[in-house]
Amino acid sequence: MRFFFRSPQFKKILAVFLILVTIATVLGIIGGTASPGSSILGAVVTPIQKMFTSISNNVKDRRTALQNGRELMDKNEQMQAEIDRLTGELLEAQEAVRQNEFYKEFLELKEHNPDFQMEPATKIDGDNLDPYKGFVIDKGSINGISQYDPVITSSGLIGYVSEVSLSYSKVTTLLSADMKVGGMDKRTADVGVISGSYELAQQGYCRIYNLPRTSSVTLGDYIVTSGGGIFPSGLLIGKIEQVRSEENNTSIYAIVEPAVDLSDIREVMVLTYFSGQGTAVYTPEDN
Amino acid sequence: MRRDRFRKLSAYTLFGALFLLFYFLQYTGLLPAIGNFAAAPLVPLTVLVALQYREWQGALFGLVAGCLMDIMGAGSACFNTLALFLLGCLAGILVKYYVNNNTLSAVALLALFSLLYFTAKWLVFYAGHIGAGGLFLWSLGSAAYTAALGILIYFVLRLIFRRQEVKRI
Repeated sequence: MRFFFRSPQFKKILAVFLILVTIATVLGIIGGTASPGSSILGAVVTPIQKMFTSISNNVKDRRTALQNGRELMDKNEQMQAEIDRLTGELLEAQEAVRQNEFYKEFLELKEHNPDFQMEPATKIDGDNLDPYKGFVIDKGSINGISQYDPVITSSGLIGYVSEVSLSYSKVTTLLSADMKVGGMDKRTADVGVISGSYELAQQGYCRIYNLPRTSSVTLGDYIVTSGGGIFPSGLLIGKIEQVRSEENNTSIYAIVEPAVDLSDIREVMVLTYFSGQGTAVYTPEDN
Repeated sequence: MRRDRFRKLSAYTLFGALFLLFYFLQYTGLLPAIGNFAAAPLVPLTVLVALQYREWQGALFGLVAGCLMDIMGAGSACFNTLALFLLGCLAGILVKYYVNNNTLSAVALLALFSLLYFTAKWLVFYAGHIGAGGLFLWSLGSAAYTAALGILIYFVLRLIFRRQEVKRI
C-alpha cells in the first residue's frame, strides 16, 4: 500500500481528482452552469436521449392503446394489422391535436400577456434520483434560455431553469426545497413564500408560508405568483388544500396543490422574457 | 491468444452494453421505483468494473458514467463525476491491496459503495432541507435498492464470465 501512494499511478489519480475538485469548486462558485464535460457530452447525448424518450413514450402510448383494444383483437385476429395501423394513425392524430391545443392555449396566454417571450421545450427525461421531480428539457442557451427563467404550461407554473447548458437545461420544480417564489392568495391578496419539502413532494404538494397570522386564506383559494424578481405576477401556482399554524404560532402556512400535474409533463414553455424581469435581486436560492 | 482477445472484447462489450442499458433505463423512467425508492445502477456497475479491471479502469468508467449522470441528474454539476470517479478508484484499490476478490467481498463492496454514494448525496444536497430525516431514510432505502440491483448484476455477470472462462469476477 505504501508503494501505491508513492507510485506515479497514485499521483496521476490525485492529479485528475484535484482537477475535478477545482472544476467543481469553480462551478459551485459560479453556479447554474453545467460543467464543460457535461456540456460537450450533453450536446452528444441529448439528441440520443431524446430519441430514446420518444421511443419510450411511444411504447407507453402503444401499450395503453393495445390494452384497450385487446378484447377486440382477441375476437378478430385478422383485423390485428388493420387495428395496429389505425392505432398508429390515431396516435399520430391525437399527438397533432394535443400539440395544436398546447400551442392554442399558449396563444391565449400570449394575448393576455403580450410582453411574454416564450420558447417551447420538450421534457427529455426526469431523474428518478431527484425526490423533487426535477427534469431536463431539450433547449439550452443557444435557444435563448437563461438560468432562473420561469418554466410554465398553460395550466400554470412548473418551476424555473436551475442549470443551463448549450443544448439542454435542468428544471427545478415547485416541489423542491430550493424553490422560493413569492406567492399571493388571489382572493385575499395575502402574500407568502412558496417552497417545497420532501414529505410534501411525496404527495405532490408544496406550501406557502410566512402568511400573516391575520390572514383569512382558506381551502380552495387560488395562489398566483406575486411578481418581482424572476417570475411575472399572476401565474397560477395552485390551490390551497390545507391551512396550518407555524410551530412558533407567529404566522400560518398552507399546503398547496400545484395546478400542473408534475408527474405528467411532456411539453413546456420557458419564459425567456417578460416586462419587469429581474427587477429585484431575488433568486429562488435566497432564503 | 485469439481466444483470450475474444474473451476480453466480449467482456468490454458486455460492460458497455450494460452501461447503456442501465443509463437509458434510469433516465427514461422505465426502471421501476420500489415505493419511493429509486436505484442508481451505474454506481454498482462502476464498482463491478473496478473489481474486474482495478482502479484506473474503475475510475475512468466512473468518470464517464458520472459525467453522463450529471447531465440528467438533479443537483449541482460535477457531484456524480467526482463521486463515481472516486468510487471506482477506491473500489479498485481496495480489491487490489486489501480484500480478496470473492463473492463475499464483492457483495460487501457493492453494499458499502451504494450506501456511501447515497449518504454523500444526502450530505451534499439534502442535509439542510426541511424534512432532512425523511430524505435520509429515502437515501438509505435507495441505497439498499441500488445494492440489491448491483448484487443481481454481479451474479449475472459472474455466470456469463464463468461460462466464457473470463478471469476475476
